[in-house]
Amino acid sequence: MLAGAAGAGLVSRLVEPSVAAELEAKKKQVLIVLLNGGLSQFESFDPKPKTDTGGPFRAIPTSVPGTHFSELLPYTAQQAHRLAVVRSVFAEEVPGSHAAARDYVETGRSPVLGSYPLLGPVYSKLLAGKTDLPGNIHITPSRGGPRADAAFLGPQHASIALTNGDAPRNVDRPAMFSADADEARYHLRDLADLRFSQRRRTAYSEAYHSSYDRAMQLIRRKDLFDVAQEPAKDQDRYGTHDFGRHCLLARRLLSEGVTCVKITHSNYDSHMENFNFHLEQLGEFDRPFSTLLSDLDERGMLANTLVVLLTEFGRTPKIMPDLGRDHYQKSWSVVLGGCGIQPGGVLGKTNANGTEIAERPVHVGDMWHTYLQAVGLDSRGTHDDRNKIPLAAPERAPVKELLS
Amino acid sequence: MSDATTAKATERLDPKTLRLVREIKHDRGVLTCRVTDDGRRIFAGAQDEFVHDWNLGELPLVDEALIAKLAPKPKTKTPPPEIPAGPPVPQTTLVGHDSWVQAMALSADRSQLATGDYVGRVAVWSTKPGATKPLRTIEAHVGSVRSVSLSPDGKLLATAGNDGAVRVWSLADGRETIKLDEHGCHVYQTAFHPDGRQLISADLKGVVRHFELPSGKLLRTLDAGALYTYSEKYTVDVGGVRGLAFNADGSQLACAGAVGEKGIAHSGNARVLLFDWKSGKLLQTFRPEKEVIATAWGVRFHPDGYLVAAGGSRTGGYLWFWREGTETEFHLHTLTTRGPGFDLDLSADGRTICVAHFDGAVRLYA
Repeated sequence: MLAGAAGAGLVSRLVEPSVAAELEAKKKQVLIVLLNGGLSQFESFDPKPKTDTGGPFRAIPTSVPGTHFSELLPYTAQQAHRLAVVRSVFAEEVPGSHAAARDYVETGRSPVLGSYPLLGPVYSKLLAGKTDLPGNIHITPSRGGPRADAAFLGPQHASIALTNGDAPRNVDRPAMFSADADEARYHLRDLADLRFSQRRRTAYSEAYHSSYDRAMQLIRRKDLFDVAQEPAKDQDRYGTHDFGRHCLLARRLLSEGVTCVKITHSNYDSHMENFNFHLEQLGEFDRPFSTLLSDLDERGMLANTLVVLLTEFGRTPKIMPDLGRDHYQKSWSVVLGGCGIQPGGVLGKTNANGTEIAERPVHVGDMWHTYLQAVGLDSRGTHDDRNKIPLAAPERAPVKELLS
Repeated sequence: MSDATTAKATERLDPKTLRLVREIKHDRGVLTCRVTDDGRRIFAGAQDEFVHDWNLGELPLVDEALIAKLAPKPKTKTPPPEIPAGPPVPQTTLVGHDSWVQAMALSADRSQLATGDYVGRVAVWSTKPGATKPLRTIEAHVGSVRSVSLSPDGKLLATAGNDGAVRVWSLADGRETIKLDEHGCHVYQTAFHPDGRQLISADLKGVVRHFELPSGKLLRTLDAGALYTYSEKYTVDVGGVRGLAFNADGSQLACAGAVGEKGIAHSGNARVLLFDWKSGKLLQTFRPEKEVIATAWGVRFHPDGYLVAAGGSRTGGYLWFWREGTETEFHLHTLTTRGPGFDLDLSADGRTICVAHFDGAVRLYA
């Protein structure tokens, strides 16, 4: 402990403080779990049982005395001491429904301001450093796929999408090439690219060059994606359904050193039969998520891995005629854990029946600052391009109560 | 009460002249309802933790004040006089559940009521006026109880839930006599055949399982899969058998629900499937003449031989009346509120339809 602290101090003295902070930050990893469609805060982290808006489910105690979650989350409730719950997140309504709202929470900026990189690409650029691993992997549901999520950071930081948790396509080397021959071809092409880019280096040439690097990374490390290599007992613990498999894959990727892993779980868009939807979806989500959190902690990884559990908006207090809940951006819950986060607490409060925020409103832009600060990045800084674009919305600020 | 309305209330129900005759308001959305033989006592489950028992007692079935209020108003500059509301319907609140009550069944002799809630509890009640505590409660399922039904002899209680299980209990001692786990998905409905020797259960995926009693042996399955859709876009299951009913002699079975998917994992268009019970053959698929987004949540065979179903969506609520041989309804009654009827029941004399309304009311139609 002391030795570690002395070592850190030595590094700090030998280099510029900003560089030291950056070096520290490079040890960090991030797990993002997106509950796609709009998780109901009432049926998850801000239950209001036996009120006119609360729905049919009860609240249960968690591992933190005095904190209650919905009874739909019995396993996650036992992880509450590892989590920080923010019950007072809000955003302005934006045109474009789900996609725009997702962009808002994942970029920290209103989508009407233009295209900004999502969290994954930002972490890929600022935390990954030089590595033979992809910096940013997105495990999507069966209908998910790649999307341009890196904006001006360039395609080299865009997510590598694992649709339904499957390995990327075409990562098997054709039988006609030996590994040595393939490596030789790769280096020959690399030399040619290098010669070209020394004279005509542009963002396009960088993107072109990086696409080969990324393809080669995937071919060399295709074992990364084979969740079947995980022990059978772990496969049982996580469950055989898609989300269980995806969580185990996320553990594998993080354990191997991938900087940012995002899992999307679909679908929570419960305009009809909200309660049935959440019973089913959270029944799938609860145990694997809890198991992943527990495993990261037991492996000593949680201290350096930020966990972000988010959704694009909450759901209305009003129960609609089809027993659904519609979209609600006036208040919802976001959950954090791990690296840089003060665990075991609840920040913010909604009123008795969840229609308004009663204490400590937190804007999605403030949360975005916090996501960066938690892993040691200065959210007040700028991207290192010519335009010096601020990393996070300048009018917003980190939520200090959440940071350890 | 005028002579005309008295006469109307005592006639056989004519769907084409159907009208709202009484409205019982509640402060939460109503999810399920059952009505006694004469249509004068109503039990309901709502978005609260209670069973509600409304007893018309000496009050007339037809609420004259409501009729006057609903009557078309002449176009005059003078505002019409305020119509005084009639006396409220006496209500008893039955306490014993811990969540919303969405499943309900009355015994054939009307002496007992069974109810089920969203957190797995089933309660059995005496229907004696004034009884407010359950005779028995059973923690029957993990998660929501979706259906309760009582055998014709009043000895058995069948329950089904989101845990995928169907269970049969002895009403005498609350003992579980049969447990059936074959569905593998949410089970939405159960029903005893009128002969009391057969039980059916129907699920989210439209599988209707037919069991022998008392053995619990699976005899066959019927395919109501038309009422189920897997939403590729939203990766969720949509639909299922929402309503289930045998006709009086048990020769036909009706399964209610919706086909397809509209919008965001929203059930598509209302349908009722009519099966010949002996052969299991699909006799008819009933549909609304004008297709609207709606689910048929409940269905009943009227003693006069036609079917009546209640349902709708957030765009409107409906009662559909179908007769075998014609695919579309012979009468459509549009409910007065924009929202579905979630359940319905018929008085045994066939004169009154009781509907559980989303907007916080039980309404009687005659």
